[in-house]
Amino acid sequence: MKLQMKDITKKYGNKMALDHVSQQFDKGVYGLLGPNGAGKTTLLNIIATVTAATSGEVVFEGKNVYEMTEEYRGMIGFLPQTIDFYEHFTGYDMMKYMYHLKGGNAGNTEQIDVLLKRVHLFEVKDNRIGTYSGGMKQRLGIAQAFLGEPRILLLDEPTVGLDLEERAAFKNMIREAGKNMTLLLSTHIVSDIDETADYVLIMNDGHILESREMAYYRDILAEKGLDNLERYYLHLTGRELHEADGLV
Amino acid sequence: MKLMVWYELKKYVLTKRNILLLIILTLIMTGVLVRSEIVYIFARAESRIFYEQIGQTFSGETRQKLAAEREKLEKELFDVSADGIKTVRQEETLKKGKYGIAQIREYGYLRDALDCIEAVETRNRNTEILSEQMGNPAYEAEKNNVIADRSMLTAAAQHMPVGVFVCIACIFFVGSSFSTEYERRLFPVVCISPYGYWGVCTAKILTGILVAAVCNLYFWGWYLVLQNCLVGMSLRNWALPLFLAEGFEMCPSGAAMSDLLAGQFVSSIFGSVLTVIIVLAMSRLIKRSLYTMSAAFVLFGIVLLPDMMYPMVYHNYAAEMKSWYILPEPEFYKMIGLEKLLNPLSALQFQYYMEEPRYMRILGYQYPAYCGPLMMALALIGIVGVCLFWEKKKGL
Repeated sequence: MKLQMKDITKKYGNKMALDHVSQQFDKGVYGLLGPNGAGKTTLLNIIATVTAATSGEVVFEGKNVYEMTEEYRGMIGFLPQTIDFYEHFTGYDMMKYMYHLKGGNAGNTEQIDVLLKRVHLFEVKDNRIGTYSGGMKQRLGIAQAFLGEPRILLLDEPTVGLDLEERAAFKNMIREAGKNMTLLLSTHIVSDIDETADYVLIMNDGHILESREMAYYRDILAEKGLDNLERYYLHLTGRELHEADGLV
Repeated sequence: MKLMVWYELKKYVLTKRNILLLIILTLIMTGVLVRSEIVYIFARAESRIFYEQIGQTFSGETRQKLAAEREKLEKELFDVSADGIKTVRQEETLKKGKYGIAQIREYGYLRDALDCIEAVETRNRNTEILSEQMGNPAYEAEKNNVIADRSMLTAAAQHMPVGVFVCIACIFFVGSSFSTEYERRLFPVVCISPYGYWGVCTAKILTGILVAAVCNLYFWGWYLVLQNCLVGMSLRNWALPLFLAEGFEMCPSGAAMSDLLAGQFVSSIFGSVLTVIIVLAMSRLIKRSLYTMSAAFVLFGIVLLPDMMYPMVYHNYAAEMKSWYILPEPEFYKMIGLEKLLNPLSALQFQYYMEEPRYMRILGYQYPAYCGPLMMALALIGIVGVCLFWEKKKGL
């Protein structure tokens, strides 16, 4: 299952969001780490074909994804950075709709029930989404991304609005899912990928600064005497913490 | 795809807000019809009594009989002075006449019936000249002898605003079709699926067409019920000749009231589907529901403005209306003529095409005038399709 980005550039006016980025993705969990404006969301949107690249191509198993658009999109699960739902739908209605979109049989709701239980929304599935909190909507967004057993799962800032318990449940889902699919997880919260990612891509200013296996970063941290990936990431992106930040 | 359409309906059509809007539009349409036909509505019961008694056809004897009755009533109702000035005898006005109606009103109905006979005989003469002497293919020599309540037919023929209400309903119901997906940041999510962008677009277009069809059935159904209750337009009356309605004296031969109704209905379907397609495109391009609907209503108003000004301002002979003229009369009528050929929504006022045979010439060939709006509509749909395709190229 090879997904490749070949020399991707994306410009918005004069701003270079992605600058000649190339990367290959196989099965596993890929954590995209970087500050705001690094290009993480743009990268995910290009892979999802939400946005077209200015130049370069995305190739899946040897074919340009725009030559197999509908077939390719059928393999993707996507959670955008911000998502909302139809307020008058119930959570269950929304999941059934998304399941139908992904080619599922509307009468077969087993997968929907399982996912809603995993994100702790099964008890409120028949409530209108308008009554959901922000965290509940985010969990619903995560659940819909997993529908249809996608081969490529793209999650952009998925833990926004989740409490500690929900984050832990989410990490479990990621660890399990990553065994069978290519999962890209974009975040600027290091702890989101500390325990889940097999690979980490550190991005800044439209470039991928480093792209390594997680095991490499654990060795680096040990070697440099750093206690977490966050400090290494800050060092790499040229941002150092100061006393005034209260975090040194 | 059926399930996709059902979900589209559930997302932005079958909502409490839209049901309330539908009720409000129904009440407004009812109010407009009642207001337009109020004079006839009050006279309807008596008018029906009168016309049921005089019969549905006339002969030379009928005309003489009605004229004699009218002359007799005139002598009973009016005093004529030496100068020839008529004065009404108040005590005679409300006495019941031969037909069981107050004499003063019976006098009016007799006048209307005689006018109807005159109009029918004029029609017979005109069609004979137009078909046999002038060879106009739209006419054949007619030998009509029908007599009917022209006021009722005129009220029904000139008050068919249904198409406008259907289009307004369509703007409300489909205006948020694409924009609600963008406002909720769901459009990329729903397109990243086996249905894909074109599957989602197809579902939205089919939903829009279904909405247009249902709105037409609903509003036209309600219109027929109203016209039956308000002015007494039963099935039998819809079969009456169209030329009896004022303003339609020169309609083509064979045209019945039902032909006008059918033409209005078809043009309403046609206009509402076009409205739906354009509003969908606006929703896709603008991506905000409120702005889409506002822009759609502004566009709709601009497109219909000449057709509203024509009967309300230029065709209204009240002197004060001249201050509302936006163009001098000759220029306005030239503009209207062109507008009726090019504006697809002008077909919502289908009366224009039934008043008399109207044609357009293209490359030396003659076509019915309504072909112009039809071709413009097809061109617009093509342009809209290109816009949607171009938008898709930019990404979701």
